[in-house]
Amino acid sequence: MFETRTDIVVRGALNGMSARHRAYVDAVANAETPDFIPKTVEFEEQLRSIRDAMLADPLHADALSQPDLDLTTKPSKQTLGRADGNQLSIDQQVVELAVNQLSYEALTQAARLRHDILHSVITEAPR
Amino acid sequence: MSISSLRISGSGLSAERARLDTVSRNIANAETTQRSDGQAGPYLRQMVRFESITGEDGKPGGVKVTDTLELAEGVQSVHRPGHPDADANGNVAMPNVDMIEEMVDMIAATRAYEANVGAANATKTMISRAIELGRI
Repeated sequence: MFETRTDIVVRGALNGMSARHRAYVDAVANAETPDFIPKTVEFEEQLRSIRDAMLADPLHADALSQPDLDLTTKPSKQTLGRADGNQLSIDQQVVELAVNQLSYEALTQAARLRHDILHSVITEAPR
Repeated sequence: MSISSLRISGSGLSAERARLDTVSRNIANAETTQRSDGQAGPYLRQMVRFESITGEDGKPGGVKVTDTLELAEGVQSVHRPGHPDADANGNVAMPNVDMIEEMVDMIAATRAYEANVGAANATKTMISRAIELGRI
């Protein structure tokens, strides 16, 4: 009812970051697994397309309210020539994990602020 | 944010703990010259093998220890005539445990364990943030 374009994009981004976090956590767990290839989830470009489509055709924005993001994992760009075939750099992976976590937290804070504004409008408006 | 990420970190913690247990066993048996069945024979260095798991939903599912390997290479004979496990020539087959290798493996396992703890904490924080979103 009150969902705006921003909410739709924020929801998509949170889902994307959550899927990416799972891929990163899996990579950390497999830090010593032979032949393991770290993976990531890329969703930013898809979200950008959805946002652009909503901006280009605001009347049909509702059709995009449930964005169908492809959150499947893809091999990450890390290439480390380890003897056991594992392509993971644990240091790099932990940094990626922290960046994703901070982005997720920042986004939840932004979403929270938007909800607070909406809440204030509903509860504080003169009757 | 899903609880499954915590389970993945849990699998990583379990795997690294198994690896640490194996390293400890190797170090403890660095001078063992008798098998568990009482027969003379050197303790053979052990090593865990990890395998990546895919979840039921096809998504990443963590790691598991598939088996513990016994490595036979590197056993050396030492001349100790008075040793109870010495052969007719006074030679004793000593375990193939290399202390330096074990220490390096232990540090790597500890580091990986800590990384998994960090990942689990990150997941917990993210779940808390997601829950806060629903609070009015």
